[in-house]
Amino acid sequence: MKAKEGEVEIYINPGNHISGRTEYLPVWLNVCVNVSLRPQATTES
Amino acid sequence: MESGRVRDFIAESWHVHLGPEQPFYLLEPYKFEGLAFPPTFEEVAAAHLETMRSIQPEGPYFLSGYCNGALLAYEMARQLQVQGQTVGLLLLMDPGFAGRDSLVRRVIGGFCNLLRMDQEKQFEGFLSVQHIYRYLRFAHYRSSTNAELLGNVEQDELGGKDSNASQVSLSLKLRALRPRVEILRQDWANIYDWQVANYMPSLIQAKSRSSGRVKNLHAPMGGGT
Repeated sequence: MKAKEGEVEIYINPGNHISGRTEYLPVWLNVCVNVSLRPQATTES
Repeated sequence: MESGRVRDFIAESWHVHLGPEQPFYLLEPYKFEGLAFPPTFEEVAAAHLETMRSIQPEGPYFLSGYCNGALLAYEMARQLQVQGQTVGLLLLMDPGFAGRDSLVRRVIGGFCNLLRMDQEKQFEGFLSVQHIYRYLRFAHYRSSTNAELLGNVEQDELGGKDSNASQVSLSLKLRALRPRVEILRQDWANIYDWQVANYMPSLIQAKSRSSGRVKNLHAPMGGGT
């Protein structure tokens, strides 16, 4: 779910607390990387 | 704040995606060795901040953490805000929830206070109760504890002896159920549980760049599925 600026943005990934970091790690990592890249783009523009 | 192979994988993947222009650091877990009982969650976050700001004195900072590490990232962001620094991103991954096990800690604290036992004993009592609960409740915890103890038993006592399997099994279970505080104290995940039980985070304020309005963000309350 995308939120407005200054609010909380929530992503629901597959798996649970353990499998989210093992079986589904690539999915989870992809979300993390995309979220991390976004504020950089804002800073640079 | 990660450990082992997962940490290495995440670090490498993240570094590749972010590129060489964007510094990326993993914080090692706080060193608790030699302490009678752990510092507060806020003190651990402050220590991590000191490390981080020795590398990058000014923001904006992009912070993230998983489980209890997410709570630490939240507390670091809160302290950075108090210091007037900018947090560009706060990424909480399946955060633990603040105040988890607070009832257990309060009951143990009250009991120990009645008996005039110090913080160290309260800490060890918490670790013991937590161990017994996990051993009785969670099969994976039970099997890993048994396996670890079985290795020690085989080395120390059973080498070369014939033994009755069921007796060994019952004996082993009883021994495994008994908390070995000196070992439990070495597991930083246990220690974070003790700290999180007493952590009541303040709200972080976020200022909208477009409207200039200040909003309160909710403290992490979920996760641990």
